[in-house]
Amino acid sequence: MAGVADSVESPVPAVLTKGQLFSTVAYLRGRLLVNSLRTVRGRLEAVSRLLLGFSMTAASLGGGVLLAVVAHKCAVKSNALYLDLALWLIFGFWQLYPLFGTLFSPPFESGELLRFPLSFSSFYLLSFSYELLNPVTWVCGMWMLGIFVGTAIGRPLLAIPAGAVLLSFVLFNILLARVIFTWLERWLAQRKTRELLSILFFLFIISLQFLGPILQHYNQRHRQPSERLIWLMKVQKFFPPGLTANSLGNMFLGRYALGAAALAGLAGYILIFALLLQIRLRAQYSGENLSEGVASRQVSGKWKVTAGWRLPGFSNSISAIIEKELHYLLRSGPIVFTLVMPMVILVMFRFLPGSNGHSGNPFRHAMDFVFPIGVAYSMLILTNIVYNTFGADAAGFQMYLAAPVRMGDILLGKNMAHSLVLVVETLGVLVLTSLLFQPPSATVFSLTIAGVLFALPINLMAGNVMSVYSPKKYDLSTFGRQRATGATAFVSMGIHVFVLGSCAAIVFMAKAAGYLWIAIPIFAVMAAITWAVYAFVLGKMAKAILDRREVMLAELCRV
Amino acid sequence: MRILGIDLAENSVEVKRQVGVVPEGLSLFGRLTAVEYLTFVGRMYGLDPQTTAERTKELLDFMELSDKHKTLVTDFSHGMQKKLAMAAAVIHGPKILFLDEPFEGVDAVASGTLKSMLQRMISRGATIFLTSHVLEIVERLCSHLAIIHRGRLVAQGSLDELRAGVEARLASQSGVEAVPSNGRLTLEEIFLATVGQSKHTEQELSWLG
Repeated sequence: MAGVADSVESPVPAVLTKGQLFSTVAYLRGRLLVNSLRTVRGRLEAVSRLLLGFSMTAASLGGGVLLAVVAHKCAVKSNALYLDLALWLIFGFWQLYPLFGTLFSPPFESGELLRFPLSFSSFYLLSFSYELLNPVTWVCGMWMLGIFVGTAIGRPLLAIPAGAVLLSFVLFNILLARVIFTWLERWLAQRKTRELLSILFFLFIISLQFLGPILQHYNQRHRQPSERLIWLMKVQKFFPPGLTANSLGNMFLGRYALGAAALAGLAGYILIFALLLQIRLRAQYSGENLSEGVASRQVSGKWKVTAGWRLPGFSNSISAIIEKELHYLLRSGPIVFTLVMPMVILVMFRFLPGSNGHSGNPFRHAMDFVFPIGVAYSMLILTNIVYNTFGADAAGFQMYLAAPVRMGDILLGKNMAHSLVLVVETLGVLVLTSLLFQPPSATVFSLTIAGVLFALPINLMAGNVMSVYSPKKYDLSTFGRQRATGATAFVSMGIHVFVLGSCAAIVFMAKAAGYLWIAIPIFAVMAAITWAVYAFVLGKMAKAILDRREVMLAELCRV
Repeated sequence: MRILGIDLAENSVEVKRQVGVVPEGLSLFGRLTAVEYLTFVGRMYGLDPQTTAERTKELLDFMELSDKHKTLVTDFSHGMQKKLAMAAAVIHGPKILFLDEPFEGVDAVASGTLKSMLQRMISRGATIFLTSHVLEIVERLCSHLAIIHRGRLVAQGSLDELRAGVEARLASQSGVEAVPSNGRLTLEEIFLATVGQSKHTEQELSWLG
């Protein structure tokens, strides 16, 4: 009990030194790592990290040796052109690679330590040191070491100034990575900025898909790459990788003043990003409030509540469900993004080289079938929401159980809302197909609609069943997550293969027989049968939901 | 099982029309605004759109949420969500209300608003079932109590009935009349005596003085 007795005599503990702080944090991380090995999942993760560690070590050593050779050549020949390219590649990898993992994972809480009595300088250093634990820092650090070794062997007299320049570049990259992470952490902490950021990120990824076709299109018109390259080489010299290479290049040529000037430019960047990091960390240190609750304010004037939708032919409650479903879908960035994909794909195919009807266009032999293919794709996209129809409602599902509405009506409302989305999608595909390719013929248009009428009830019916027997709670605001269980994904895939396969087989046989139109009445008869089966199954779903309500509640209300 | 004279198994929809519920998970739809949520719930309970709109406005004003009527429910604080869930539970004028921990995580102002609404409902003849771990609230609000311990109903009745039962049992155990220092057993004391546990003795931590 000596410790306790001591603490009674000195109740206010001494301020932690920086050394004690770092050793304490190192102990914490060490314990977290060891404790993570207690579970099978943790051990598997450790093995995967170990394998990743081996591959990254190999990449860092191999890259380091290669870069040492490149740097040696550059130093001997007094030409830093290849070093310039290498530094840009290192910079790109260092900054972009960690970003791809961040948007999909929860924000890390560097501010967790703030409840302890830390000075701001300790907090700043701690935040900075977190970056040193990042595997990317180690890999890129090894590459930079390779450049240093190559340069030092090639020009031993320049080892110290070159080392200072390369070290500055390392410092800049660590600072920049830290700045990006701390600002990302800030944006990811709030729903609105998080969703906006995710949408921007995915738009960026999608825009990359267009890059190839657009560049090819552009290059066919303008064939003066040398001028653009010269301009690009001039501009890049003002950015950190260019400044670093410029500084080294000037030193190789004995122009030390110019080399020092480039180094000063790099130091300027370091200063700017150190300040940006300080601004962000100071806000965290001061206890910024990122609460998503909005401050109360007086409502100016009288406000009105508009009555909900009244949809002709539907009861009050079914209209309410359709309205609610459409509000939900249209407010979800990821869902809207998914729903516009058929249109995006059509535009993308239009921009493929040779899309005017020749070599590169995948539809060149079947321009008339762009419309049915687009509609089929739209139906595939609906799988996400149709096959797990209660998933986004989460705890709201309890409301359906408490409300005096038949479960069949609730499912019908949801199915109608999803069907409405398909109608809008089909119209969008029709307009774009007509504008970008060619309007479908009357026969193809009719058989597509008849095919949809056959396929839709099968999907809705299977979707209802899987929504009840294999529900999965999901968040409509997140990208990149599977929105259904593995069983649902498997079943939906089987149904799509069956439905689309049988549609394709009927169309193929009708076309081969020379009577494409005959597919229309066949689809119409099949549609009548599937709608009847749909109505029968819908009538049975209320009992199924009541029987499975405990299981559904356990999954959907899971915190 | 019959509720309000209606067979639950045979006519569950009619029973549900008379009942309001605030479950543990609050059963909110996070990506609707408060107005949209109440409008949706009102119409699901069979109110016509006009009545739903009028009651939605009145409820949001009463719950002091009218300044947030365009905010998504997911962005509400826990207390605001609780008030909204309560508003949704009463929009159709239920005769029976089931509330699971209605005051948990609710600030004093919101708590006062909710209590006044519940009192008014009671005075108009509604029956409210309320579960809570905060016994002071239960003692103040409820006329009849039931104590559940380890999943079993171990006592039920009015507060006076429970108090009398516990006092009689304590007296028979100790052989003398069990009269607490302030003259009346609190609900907390009744609860502890019923579930057979005594209060924790105050444990001392040496360095806290």
